[in-house]
Amino acid sequence: MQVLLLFVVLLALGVPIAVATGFSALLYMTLEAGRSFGVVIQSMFSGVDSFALMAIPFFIFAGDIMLEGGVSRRLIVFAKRLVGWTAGGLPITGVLSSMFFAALSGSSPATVAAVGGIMIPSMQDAKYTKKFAVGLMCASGALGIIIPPSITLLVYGVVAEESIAALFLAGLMPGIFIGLVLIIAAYIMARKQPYVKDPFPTLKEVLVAFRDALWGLAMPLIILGGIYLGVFTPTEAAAVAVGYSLFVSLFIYREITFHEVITKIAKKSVVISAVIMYIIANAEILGRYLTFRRVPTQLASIILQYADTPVMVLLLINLLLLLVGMIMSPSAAVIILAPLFLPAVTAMGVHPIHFGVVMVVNLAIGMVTPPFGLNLYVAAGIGKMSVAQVTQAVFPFIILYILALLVITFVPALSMAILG
Amino acid sequence: QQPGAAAQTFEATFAHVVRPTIAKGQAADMFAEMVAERSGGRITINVFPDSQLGNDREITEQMQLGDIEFNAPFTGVLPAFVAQTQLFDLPFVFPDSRAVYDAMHGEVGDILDQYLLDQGLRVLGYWAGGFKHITNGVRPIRTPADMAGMRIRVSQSPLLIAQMRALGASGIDIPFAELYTALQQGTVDGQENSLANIYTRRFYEANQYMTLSGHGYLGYIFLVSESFFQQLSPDLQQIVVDVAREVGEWQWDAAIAEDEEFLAQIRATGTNVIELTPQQRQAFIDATRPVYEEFARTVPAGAELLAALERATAR
Amino acid sequence: MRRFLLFVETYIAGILMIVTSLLIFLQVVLRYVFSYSIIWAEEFARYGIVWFVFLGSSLAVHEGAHASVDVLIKLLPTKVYRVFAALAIVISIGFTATVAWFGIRMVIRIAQIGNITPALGIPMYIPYLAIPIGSLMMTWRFAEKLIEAIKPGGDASVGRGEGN
Ligand code: NA
Ligand code: NA
Repeated sequence: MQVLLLFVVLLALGVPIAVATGFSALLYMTLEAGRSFGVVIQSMFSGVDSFALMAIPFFIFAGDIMLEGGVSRRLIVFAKRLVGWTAGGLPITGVLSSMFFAALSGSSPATVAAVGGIMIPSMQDAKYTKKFAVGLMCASGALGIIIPPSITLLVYGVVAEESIAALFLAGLMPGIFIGLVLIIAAYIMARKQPYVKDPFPTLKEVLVAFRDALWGLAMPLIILGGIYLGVFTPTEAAAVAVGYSLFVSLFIYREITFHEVITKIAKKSVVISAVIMYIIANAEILGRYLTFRRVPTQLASIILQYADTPVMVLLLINLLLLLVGMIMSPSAAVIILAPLFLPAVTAMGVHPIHFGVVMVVNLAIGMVTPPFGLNLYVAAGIGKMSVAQVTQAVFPFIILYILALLVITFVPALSMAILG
Repeated sequence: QQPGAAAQTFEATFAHVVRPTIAKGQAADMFAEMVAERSGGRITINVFPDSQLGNDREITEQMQLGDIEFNAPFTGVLPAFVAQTQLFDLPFVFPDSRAVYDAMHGEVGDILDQYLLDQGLRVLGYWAGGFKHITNGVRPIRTPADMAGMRIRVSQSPLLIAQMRALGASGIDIPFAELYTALQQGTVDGQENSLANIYTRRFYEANQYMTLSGHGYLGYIFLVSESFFQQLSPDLQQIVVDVAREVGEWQWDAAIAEDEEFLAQIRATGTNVIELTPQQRQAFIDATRPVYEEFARTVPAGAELLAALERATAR
Repeated sequence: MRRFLLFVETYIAGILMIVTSLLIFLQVVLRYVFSYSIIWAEEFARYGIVWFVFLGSSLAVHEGAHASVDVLIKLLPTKVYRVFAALAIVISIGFTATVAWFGIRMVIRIAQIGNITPALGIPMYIPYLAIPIGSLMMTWRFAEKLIEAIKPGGDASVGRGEGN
């Protein structure tokens, strides 16, 4: 626990988040837990050495290529012609796109990188505030691990020894429910903004925009179709996106040269992804230290000891998961905590599949909360904002998520009805 | 031994990558308990299951660096440390579990023990995993011809890829974490794994056909870091070795019983389970024979190991 | 030195980003069209990413892109703020230098043991080498920031906080 105190002090001093994390974790790992240099280096390495995380830099890179290569501009014009004349049309399109992408990808930061890369600039283009655009896309990206497929639900299925197919089905309605909540919120918040409402388009305008954006519009089709038909995995889809956007930008639109791709675009994407992944590398040292010292286990046993009614237990578990989700990756949290809580909650009559959904929604919220919510860093990178600003931007949506979480926790039917 | 060494206490870490509820995980807990008891608390072992402290490659590396003392890694990850452990990736090496046990507790085991010890890893025993079988979502596999053109996921091993090629299929690399969805979406047609993995990872949900080919063996090697072992006084070393032997025997029986239970569970789900006749099995054995030459050619002292293996399985 | 660092950070890291993504793209094409899989593609991509992340982290120090929370210290009087900002950089230097030192020891130790990577079959210290090299470059870049921060009138900010 002292390690977290040191971390907060360093953070307040203005030390970069990654360094504050790594410094406090390194100190405690070596001096307090007596582990060697090897554990520190291996943890950092292991945090970044992950196939699933590959989607983050690749989607960021693809997004930057599309931005510089003219693909995004044409897509934005098309989206504005199509929905720009309605109140909240673009933000709602953004949430819907995240829901669709979430239905194919199992990762939440990848969802922010893939969808936010297009939708944040297009909302800004329509004069929505950057804060609103970034906050909304950051929050809707968290659906990535709730709407199936979901890496986190998969890990839960293995640990809890439950059917993964059933878990995926159970995550569907809660995911759609949260999506609807976000859509309603986006609509209300959008109407209060001085955004530019486009005039109703003529058919010709729509068709011209459609023709111009054709190459760009083919991209989501290729990505979604390719994953759906099993041509490639969701992680590989990110690399396909890079290949395709390079092809269109270099050979069809010819707005960039290969030299620019290296010196300008790749450079920019490398910096944004390095910032995110360097935080992951350092957070992994902290995660391994807390695991080694069994901190999550101790917190869990305190909860189970002091809560006596089912409602209390579920509320406190939610609270703990929210806290743990702020620090550890969703998969690590599930692996450690699911086996601890399952016997207690099943004894209270909670179905293990329902509990899996509750855990995953909790940890999805962790993806948008500081200090280690990856969605925040992806959104900050894409939107060129500070993490503090993104946190502020996403705050209203976190409240909505927590309210939705309470509904999902105490209305099991929302998850279970679909299973019959 | 310096005076007072007998009173010295040790705290050790046993990290592994499976659920504590399966035979290997239970054996780890049992080992920790029994060592603590027999040593009168002079050795405390903290067990971390479920890859909490890293994957098998990382844990084994930490053993070499002196940060983790015990692990029972899956034989498939050990070639990065000792090339000769690729032995386990050969097709149809062992006819049954008994043959695996005899080989690993005889000459073959002795040879591997030495190679592992050279890497700072002392073998405390060979634990049972299970035979590997093939699942797929396309058609029932009864002959090698049924596999023609199929894309079968294998882990990153040249010998496993060569095996699939010998059967007319393609060995495809998909990360384990993405395998379930890859099978579900048809990115690959099938995969090969032990019943424990097929059941606990729910691969049968994504693939409706399972052929009990038993073409490969997925074992575990129970290791202690040599640097830690050498710090122990002779009586403590003896306790560790004795308990390891007892737990190993228990684990072997438990794992075999568990494998049967997994098979029954998978059958109960309505998965189409295909058993091979001896003649059908022979067709697979004949088709994959060339892989042995590749092993003898590419692995240092491979030919010597194959000879020892032949002597062990001939009995 | 500065030009050399910028070259490594920009070209090597950038080319690694392009090569790793196109390699995975190629892997998809080979599998779909020819049912063929490059056994080392995934491993190469993972290690390639580790390399560009640590080289890119150095570039990110240079560009002041590492995320930090400077809301609190920004409230302090300018002079005190500059002291705290310099202190934050000193802590960062201490950290990256320690990681570089740990990393060098790790690389030496792994080279002695002689482990290889599972798929590529190259020595395992090569992927690990990214950490000490990247951390040394970060140390250099933080040192440049420190010189800038203690110069009268220089820019004292460490990373991308509220201010920029
Ligand atoms: Na998803
Ligand atoms: Na978080």
